[in-house]
Amino acid sequence: MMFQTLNDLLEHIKQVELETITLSQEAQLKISNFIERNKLELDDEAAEALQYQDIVSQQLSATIEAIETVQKTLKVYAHNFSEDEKIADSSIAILRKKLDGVLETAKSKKEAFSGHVKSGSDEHEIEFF
Amino acid sequence: MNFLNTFLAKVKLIKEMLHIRLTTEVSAFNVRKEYKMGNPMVMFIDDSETALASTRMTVSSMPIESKQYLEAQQCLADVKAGVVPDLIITDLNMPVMNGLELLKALRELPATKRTPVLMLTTETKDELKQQGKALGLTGWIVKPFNPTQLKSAITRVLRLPA
Repeated sequence: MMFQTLNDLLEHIKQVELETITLSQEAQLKISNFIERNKLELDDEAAEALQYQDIVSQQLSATIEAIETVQKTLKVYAHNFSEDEKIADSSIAILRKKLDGVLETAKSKKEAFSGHVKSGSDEHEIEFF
Repeated sequence: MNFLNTFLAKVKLIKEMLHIRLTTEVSAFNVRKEYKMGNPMVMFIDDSETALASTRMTVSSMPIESKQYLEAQQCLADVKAGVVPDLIITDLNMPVMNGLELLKALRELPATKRTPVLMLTTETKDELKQQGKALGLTGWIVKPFNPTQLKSAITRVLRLPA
């Protein structure tokens, strides 16, 4: 029962995130189309701000991936729990390990998908090899 | 009579062969004319439509022809079909084929063996930059990019008049 509630809550968060991605993308594309259609010139600051939607989408997509992994893991555990308590005991250790792994992956993706926004610095990175 | 028939058949065959050859050459010339005789062609690859819109707006005032792709495989298919870019700017994290996989595939094709490729990504990991460098990557640009700096990077790589 508890697992079902937990799963429903995760599903709800996932759906809200998916809708946020879709809405922000639609809004962004409408603004971009308006700018292009009217041949408006943006300064660097505004043009850079327009790119934040892409970063927000990537961040949310990474958390959706994490939620889906947790949902799968919970499903396996819930199944074992209903089958046999002994199996459930050993499964909880596996569940914990798995969830720790999901958290680590999610954190590293947050880092990877932030670009130079995370540093709060105005310095831009262009490197030639 | 038999000799005449054979002769006519041979003439027809030669005529058909010539027609095929001429058609191929004309279409090859059109491709060259389209991409080599006008402005330099830059291919942008990103699985995000909004990211492509940002790059499109940024380069709209530049003397380049821009071609945009939401999938790396589509860009690769175009290159294989004879579309030869002068510069490729690609995202790294994309489903199915990522930027590094695309770079590797491009380096295996004679047409893009030495074409400059810039990675435009949110990733900043040194390990990934080194992987790109080993595959012959030209440069690494971190998102969100500064439009003036992206334009000057393109100008520099394509050696356009400043």
